[in-house]
Amino acid sequence: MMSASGPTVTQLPMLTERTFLPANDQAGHPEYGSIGFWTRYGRGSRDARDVMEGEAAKAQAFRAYFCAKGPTACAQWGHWLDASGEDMILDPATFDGRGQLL
Amino acid sequence: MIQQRLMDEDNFSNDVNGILDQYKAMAANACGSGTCEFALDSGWDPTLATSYENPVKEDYAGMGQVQLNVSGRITVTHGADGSLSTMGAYKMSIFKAWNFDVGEYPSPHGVTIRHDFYHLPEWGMAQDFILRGTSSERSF
Repeated sequence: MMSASGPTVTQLPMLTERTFLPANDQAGHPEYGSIGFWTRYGRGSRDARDVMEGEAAKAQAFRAYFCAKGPTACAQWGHWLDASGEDMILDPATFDGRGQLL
Repeated sequence: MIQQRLMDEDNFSNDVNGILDQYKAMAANACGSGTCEFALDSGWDPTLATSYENPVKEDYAGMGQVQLNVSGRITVTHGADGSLSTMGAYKMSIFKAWNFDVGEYPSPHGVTIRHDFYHLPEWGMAQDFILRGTSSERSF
């Protein structure tokens, strides 16, 4: 890159070859009827529902546990459990100001 | 401030400063005389938002390992007296896939915690997401 009056800017090499990271298994689609689900918990809808409700209760308990640790952990768990799957973005303002993470 | 808190963490700040030190050395070596300008982009490598040894519990639970990128610019100046100075500015970016990979369990301090949370998105009870962000510009 060169400006009209400035010196040439030399690009230094990256320290790693990883230019970006894949969201390898980001979910986003409720799959109540997936084969994997019913294979694992296929002993009937009652058992499956019990498992699901148990996990949901545990997740909420963990949420309360992490919310007690502080707003960052609380926000992460809340986003995971409640949100639409959209990215949580810390733009410069939110990166610098923790209050806006909440 | 998240940024300041991260920089207060030895793991995170050591990694950022280590990246900058490498680039300062590269730039100094590449600049034979006068004033030279360089751009830097480290790529992405993992770091810890907090240390395992003395964790800030909130960051340990809320972020843990994140991917770190440092980008910016460096100006190297050779002084008339033979001195060499480097100055510049940079931004830090972080990236984390907030999910529970199937069959992967956290093992803090070597204690494996088994759970089935990774099924919650499959069941429509949670949604995996990406945490990412970029700091404001910092000078050195």
